[in-house]
Amino acid sequence: MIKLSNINKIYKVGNTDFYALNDVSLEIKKGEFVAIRGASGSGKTSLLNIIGCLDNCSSGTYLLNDKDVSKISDGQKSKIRNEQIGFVLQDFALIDSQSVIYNVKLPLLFGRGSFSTLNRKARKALKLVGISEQAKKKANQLSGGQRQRVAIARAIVNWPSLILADEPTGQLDSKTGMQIMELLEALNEQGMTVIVVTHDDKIASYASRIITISDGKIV
Amino acid sequence: MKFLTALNSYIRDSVLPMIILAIMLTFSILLLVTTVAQVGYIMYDYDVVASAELDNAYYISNVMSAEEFNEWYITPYDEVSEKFETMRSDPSVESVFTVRSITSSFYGNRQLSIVIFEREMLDYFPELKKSGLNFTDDPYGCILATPELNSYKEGDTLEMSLSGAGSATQALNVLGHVSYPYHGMTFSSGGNNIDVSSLFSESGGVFMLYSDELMATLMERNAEIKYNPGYMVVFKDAPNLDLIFTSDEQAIPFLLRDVVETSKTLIREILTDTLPRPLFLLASAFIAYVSTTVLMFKKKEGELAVNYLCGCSRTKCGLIAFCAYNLISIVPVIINIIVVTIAPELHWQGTVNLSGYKFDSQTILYIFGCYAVTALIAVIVTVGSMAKHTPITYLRGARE
Ligand SMILES: Nc1ncnc2c1ncn2[C@@H]1O[C@H](COP(=O)(O)OP(=O)(O)OP(=O)(O)O)[C@@H](O)[C@H]1O
Ligand SMILES: [Mg+2]
Repeated sequence: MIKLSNINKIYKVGNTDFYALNDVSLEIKKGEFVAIRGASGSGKTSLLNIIGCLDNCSSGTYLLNDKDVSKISDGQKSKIRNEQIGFVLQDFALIDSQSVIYNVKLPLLFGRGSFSTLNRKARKALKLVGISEQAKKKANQLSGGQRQRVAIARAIVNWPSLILADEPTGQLDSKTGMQIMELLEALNEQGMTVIVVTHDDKIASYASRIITISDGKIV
Repeated sequence: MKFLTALNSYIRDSVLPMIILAIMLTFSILLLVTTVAQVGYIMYDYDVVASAELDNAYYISNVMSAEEFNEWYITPYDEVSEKFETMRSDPSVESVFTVRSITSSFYGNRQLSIVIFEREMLDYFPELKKSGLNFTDDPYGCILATPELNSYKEGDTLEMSLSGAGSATQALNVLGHVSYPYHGMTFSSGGNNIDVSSLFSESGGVFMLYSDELMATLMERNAEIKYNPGYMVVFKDAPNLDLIFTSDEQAIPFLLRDVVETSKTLIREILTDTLPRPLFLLASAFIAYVSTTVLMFKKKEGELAVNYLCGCSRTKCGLIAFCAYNLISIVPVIINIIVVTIAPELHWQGTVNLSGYKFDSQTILYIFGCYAVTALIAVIVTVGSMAKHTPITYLRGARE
């Protein structure tokens, strides 16, 4: 499903080039549960952003479902993010001042479905992650664990084939973290490809494959 | 609908500043527009007078006490006519332009006046025709100068009851309409301070051309014909003001060239004294608009980044911001366009007195000009902010 070949990500720092990703080649099959592990600053987020069509790579090719997405427009990338990818980030990336249900609806707002189905779909997703009774609350009124569940509900509301989680348990205590991982595991069992970035071995152990990255290179 | 939901989310925390700014914009645009309308009104009169041959032409104004006015008012028509005939026959005089009106002609219950001037005057001020004063040879042809008669079309007949003529009516043939703001050269102002606008007024009736046949008919019917207080004398070469003073004690002659100069000063005064205020206000409103939109973006940058994460393209993110900013300016623009469109109607109905203002397509152009400025600011702020803060840097920045 994901095929990266010779990916470089170069940041210009002053006059020098900084290789956040250096010649990364990687293949992930549909339905896999993969953990990407590495020290801070090793390039995990950079890699995930490229896989998630959030950021462009400097060189190399990226095939997503056999389609070359390394050179497509921002509009096309956005469509892919919207329909095929769900994101779960360390800081939840919710709109704090908005209601839980609005946050979950977001991908639907930018997708193709009709307006009338939005609430129903969002409630279904909230039910799946087990917090349907919080729908009317504002996002900033929830606990960390609940917020991450909202983020997961939002990630799956369009039922994408790929879930990208960047340190999803980073701001949670270990027990809540485990619950979140179990949720991701359940999604994986339903057929979604899940990629989790972490530097926690315990979290990584949920995955069926662990990729380690160091100084922008896969080791 | 989905877009509106996202747009609503973008503006919901900023509604109050948006409303305040919209009010500020509404008033600044309104102030500008009224000033422009004021200049527009004078400019029409100015163009009419300034385009004529000005060298030896005098407008004769007069200052009368109430008694003198009464005396003048009851002077028989023939006596005044005679005075003008004497002037006309003087070898130094090229022509004398007078305006007659039938002071109280009624149509329905509304008072309308019939204003009659000489064809020669129309030739002397060719710009007058621009307002629609295109007469034929028909002595009973009239041109309507009030929106009240808009239902009458070219070719219709208008039955006017003439003051003094009892119940008999006179049929007039409608030749056309004078365009908004329905004013014409009526010489109805006197006084010491004469500018081009003093020569004009909104007659609130119909315009006709002098002809012997028309006058004979009107006399026959005993219609009460009066001369308007002002008149104009054009001398052949050297002006002979004594001629005027002998026949008209209260006369104050104004060289038309001076009248134009006075008006120039007046226009300049409006432009230099009055215009800076709305311009300053407008500039302040635009600056407030810049800061509000920039702050709104700052406040909602994170939301746009989250939208981006969820599949909203950067173009669409920008569009959300741009539309939000446009909401602030579109309401003042619509309000002002409505005001400018209904102002002539309100003026006519007497709800508000707006004489001296000319609201037309040009005024609307200024409103659109203001809108264009805000739209440009909105584009610059949106594109600039988006370039400076890409969603990806925000998503990273928020976490690290
Ligand atoms: N916009 C940028 N400009 C310059 N350097 C950058 C930029 N973004 C990231 N980097 C650098 O790229 C390297 C990889 O960053 P990245 O965020 O991918 O690391 P990470 O493995 O996710 O780290 P962490 O575990 O702390 O999240 C870091 O050294 C970082 O400083
Ligand atoms: Mg990271």
